[in-house]
Amino acid sequence: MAVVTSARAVVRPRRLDRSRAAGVLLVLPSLLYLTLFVFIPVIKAITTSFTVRDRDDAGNYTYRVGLDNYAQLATSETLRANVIFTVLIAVTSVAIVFCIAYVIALALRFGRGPSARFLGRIYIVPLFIPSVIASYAMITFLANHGFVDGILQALGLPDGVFPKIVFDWKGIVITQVWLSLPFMTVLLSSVLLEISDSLIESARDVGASSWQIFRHIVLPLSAPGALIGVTFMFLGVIGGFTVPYLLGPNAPQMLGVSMVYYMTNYFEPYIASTQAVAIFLLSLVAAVYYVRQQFKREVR
Amino acid sequence: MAEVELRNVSKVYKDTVAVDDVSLHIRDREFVALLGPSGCGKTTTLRMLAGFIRPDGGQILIDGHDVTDLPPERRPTAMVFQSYALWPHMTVADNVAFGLRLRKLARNVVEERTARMLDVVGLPGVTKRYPSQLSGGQQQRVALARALVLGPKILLLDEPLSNLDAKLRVRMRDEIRRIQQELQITTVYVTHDQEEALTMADRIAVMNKGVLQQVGDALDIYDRPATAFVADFIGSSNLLSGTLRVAGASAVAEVGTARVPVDADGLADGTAVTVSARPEDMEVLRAPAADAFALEDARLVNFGAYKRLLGRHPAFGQLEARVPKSFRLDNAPVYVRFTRARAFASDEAPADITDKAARDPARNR
Repeated sequence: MAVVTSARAVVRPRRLDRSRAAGVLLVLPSLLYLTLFVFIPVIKAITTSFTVRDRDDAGNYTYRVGLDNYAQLATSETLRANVIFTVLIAVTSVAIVFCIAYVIALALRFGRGPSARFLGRIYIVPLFIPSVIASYAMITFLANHGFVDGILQALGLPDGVFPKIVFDWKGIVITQVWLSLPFMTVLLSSVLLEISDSLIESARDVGASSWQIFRHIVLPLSAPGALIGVTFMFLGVIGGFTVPYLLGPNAPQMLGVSMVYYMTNYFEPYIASTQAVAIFLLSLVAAVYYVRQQFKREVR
Repeated sequence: MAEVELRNVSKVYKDTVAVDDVSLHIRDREFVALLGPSGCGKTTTLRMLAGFIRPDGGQILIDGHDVTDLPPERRPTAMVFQSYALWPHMTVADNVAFGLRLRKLARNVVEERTARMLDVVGLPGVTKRYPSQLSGGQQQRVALARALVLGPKILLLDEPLSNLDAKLRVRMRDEIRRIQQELQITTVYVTHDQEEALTMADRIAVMNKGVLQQVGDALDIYDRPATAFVADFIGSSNLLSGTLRVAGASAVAEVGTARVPVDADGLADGTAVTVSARPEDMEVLRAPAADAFALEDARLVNFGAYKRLLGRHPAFGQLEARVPKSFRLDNAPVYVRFTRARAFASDEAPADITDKAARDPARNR
């Protein structure tokens, strides 16, 4: 007995050491990647956002640590408007996409017949079109005197009645909706497919109407998966650049666009970094929510 | 009062006939088992009773009312699903109470009836748990409570025990029967397990390939099978094919060169027949005798309480006889005699009648 124990005591640590070394080796590449391309830039951005540049009367720059950039973000009319605008655009786009995608997913899950099958084939198309192409397409399509306006005018709509969509918040929202719809639909469809027929049949069996089945069975069962989709899309829109840059108004601007302008046009890396941190914090809210949902799921 | 009548009910899928002209009358408070191999149409029949499938032909009547066109939510039936189909996001109490709440009953009524029904199924004190926190047997009980709490006229069960382990299955079998007796509810029970059907049901309806083969109590079905299929599917049988020879009151089946005395039930001389004989209707002899056949390659299989004697005969192929557990071969010759064999016209016998293993999992255990 004693011999066996001591033999184990000798063998075990060596094995453990080896597997531990292998584990570290396996983690190392991704850790390196994260450090170089995520952690260091994030820390740099955060430190930059707390750096304040002052200019004395002689025109020399002095640097100090302070909250001035954040104060400016909160008080400057333009900057504050940008933050609010970004959140509003994200919330609106996500809400619209969610509603449309849910209806399509319901049709795909419960619909029978050729129209549901046709829908199932075409909804995926925007997924294969890059956002730059889609944005330019939207510009030619929806601009004043663009494709749609042209057709409407040919049909008798007076000039100047067509609303301003391009270079306006509506343009951003429409394009984001168009681009995000396939992803959200795929996700919601798979969530709805996970709900087995017998769960719905058993609800019918105890007397539930279609609406009651939707309200009490389908919606709650799809909520956790659906909220994960919402989180991801929210993150995408908050940090988006291409669509608001090409289709958005000059003011207010979404944070991604405004950040680039401050960085390259106004040579204000400090304000730009502060805006980056703001985007990061907004994303963090969504990320925390996502993690909490995942955790709840595992507990179940 | 709650009786069910199926009148010439049929269901066709593309070109397969799932249910073929089934007529069945289920009496008030009766427990009827729909028994058959998978794909025999028993579940389709049950789902037509529940309203999930619309029959292509025929009528379904509950207490004389035609419910053929009514959706499940408007039928006085309640179903227990094979996979239980409990809603995972609701607690046990919410699962049971869901149907009551839809009916906008007062809160205390809902609570009281939910608690009482959980009591009936033997599951008090788990109301706040989620289905995933329960064992298979407990989930089964919740499903039962959920179906029964609305006071349905007809209880429908779709292979409710197939997901449970063997021991629990036997216990839940008795439990379901007890609850059915206690509530005096008309019950239709779908199963492929003949033991379940024989032990639980007042009457058994045996189905094969969409056709109702026989309806009767356990004794009828076992002792007086109406078709060769029933004879083979219920219990086990030696099946031989031959030609019937009738001479006055007695009949024999010619199987190759051998002749076996049979009950022929009015079949004509010269009919091609399938002969079925139960292993317990085979007399085992140690010496040659009239009508006795020598077995080759005899061997014994022990079933604990009894043994089975297996052997071959040149005319019949494999034969099987039930013998007491004390029986020994001792390298001596054995002979078997058919004490009771029944002949069925061969066209009644399905082509795959010898495919026993697929249809009788109980025998493979």
